[in-house]
Amino acid sequence: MKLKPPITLAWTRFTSCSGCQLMLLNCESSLAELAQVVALREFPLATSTECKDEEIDVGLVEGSITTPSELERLLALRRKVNLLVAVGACALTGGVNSLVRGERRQAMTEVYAGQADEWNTFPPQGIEHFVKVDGQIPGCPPEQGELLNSIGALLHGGWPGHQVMPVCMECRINENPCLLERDCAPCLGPITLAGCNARCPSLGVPCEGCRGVVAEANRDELRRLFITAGLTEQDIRHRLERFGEAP
Amino acid sequence: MTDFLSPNYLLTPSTLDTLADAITKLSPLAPQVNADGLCRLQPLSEGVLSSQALSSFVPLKKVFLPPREKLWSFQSGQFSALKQPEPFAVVGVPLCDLQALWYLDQVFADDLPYQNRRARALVVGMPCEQDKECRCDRQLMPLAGDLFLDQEHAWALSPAGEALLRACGAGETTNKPLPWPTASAGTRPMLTEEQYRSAADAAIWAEAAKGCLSCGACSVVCPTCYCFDMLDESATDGSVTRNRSWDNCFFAEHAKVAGGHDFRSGRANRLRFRMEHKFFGFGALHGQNSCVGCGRCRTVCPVDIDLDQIATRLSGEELA
Ligand code: SF4
Ligand code: SF4
Ligand code: SF4
Ligand code: SF4
Repeated sequence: MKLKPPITLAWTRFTSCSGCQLMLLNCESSLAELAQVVALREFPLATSTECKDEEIDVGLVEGSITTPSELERLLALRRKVNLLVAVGACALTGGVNSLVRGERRQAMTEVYAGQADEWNTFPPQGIEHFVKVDGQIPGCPPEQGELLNSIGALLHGGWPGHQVMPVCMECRINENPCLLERDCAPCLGPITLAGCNARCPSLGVPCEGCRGVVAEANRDELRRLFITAGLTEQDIRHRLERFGEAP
Repeated sequence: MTDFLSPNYLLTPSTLDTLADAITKLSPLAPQVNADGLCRLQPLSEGVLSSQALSSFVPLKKVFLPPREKLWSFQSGQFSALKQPEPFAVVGVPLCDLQALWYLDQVFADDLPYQNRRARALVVGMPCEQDKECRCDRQLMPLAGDLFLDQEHAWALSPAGEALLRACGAGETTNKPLPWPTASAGTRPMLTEEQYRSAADAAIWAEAAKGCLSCGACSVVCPTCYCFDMLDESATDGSVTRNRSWDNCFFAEHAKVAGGHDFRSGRANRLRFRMEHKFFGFGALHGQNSCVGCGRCRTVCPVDIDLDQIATRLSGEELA
């Protein structure tokens, strides 16, 4: 369905750091152009106005769902948007918010002491856990180009295609020395969806897996390589947990 | 094959200098080892004549078939024209990569962006030192390129190469064959297509492919791998750009078609497919081995998948 510009767009934030919004705000050279084709009805980092429209073309969701009231807002949003897009690791898998998975009770007590019970929260979840999601823009934070191209594709009534391949492919194309091989570093490149142009390994930092796990990832083999490289099962679990991908 | 036919010129020091100057003007790329130990094809920092052929991590193909390229863009009813590259040179190309270039020339014979770059490039081969992974073989396929240079001789591999040699004053010809390494570090296994086909259900495929990470490294470094994907990008200004970028047959969507059907599901099938391409070729090039024996793939593979080793097991011989 080709949408007629300006398309109405509501950026809704749940539990997140607002970094995804910042990535779009930082696309300075494209903002004027964007304003021509998009009518932004909600964007918390720029305005406190909440979307009052009864129908919206596209809802962009940032953040994980951690409270019953967030869940209610998410369901209400789904009812009024034609297309719902999950933006960033939090909205996709729970992201860094889901770090405490498993040790939640203990962590709550450590941080909030006697007030731990006053918070009506549940373990952070990606939005697909609750509602139908029409498009995903992965990353923590997402790539600016991907944000803009996704909006550009929506204007044409489509959704951008992606190469389903791991970060290693981009890393090798960039002719980086492999950190896993050279330094026995716990690089998640082999199982992480590409699209960031191997941002971290190209700077000498092992991939953290922020873009989520690639289709048909060979986790067993990576685990074997990690163990050979001297990591423990616990190291591996912590590594995978960072972006909500613990087994 | 081609190398026996290449006219060879005896070079005087002054001809050699003139030639080196002519090449230097073409801002040559050359394989050079960086501080991190990786050899990359990059702008030449030293003189042309002190170059030598080295096996770069990513081979020569990246110059003619870039890892990512814009094929065209479309805005307000207008297609943008392909940009013509400036003339350029690549020096220090090893013989195996010259063979691989011949192979890619066949595959991309009708591809405009590839041919545009080829037409503007002067590709200069040089003698190499054999590495322990090298299994090159002059019989595998012909070679392409323009010149082959050592310190005293030049071989004209193309009419453009020959014209340049003459323009630089080279005259006296000899009948020296191209300096292929004599004692190959190992020989390529002899696997017949019949052996390959009859082993379709052999356990070795699943066994060997089990560890494959589908990381893509093997096709990035292979001088004759050319698979690509095409993706369109729509900008917010309404323009659309078509890009092509390297792909790998181990990726989950390489053989996926509309409706989600997968012609090659699972890594065992994909490994067989890769093997088929490297040993027996496809389409118009069926019957043409496409592995030049450079050894890059088995060196780079994080889980040590080695096509030659698999071929050896399938053909029942032992690897040298
Ligand atoms: S450094 Fe990481 S991303 Fe790069 S090739 Fe090695 S494992 Fe893959
Ligand atoms: S380099 Fe090895 S692990 Fe990576 S895709 Fe190729 S065969 Fe698989
Ligand atoms: S040895 Fe490997 S990388 Fe080299 S040509 Fe053969 S298949 Fe390609
Ligand atoms: S099919 Fe596989 S082996 Fe053949 S060119 Fe493509 S990636 Fe390389």
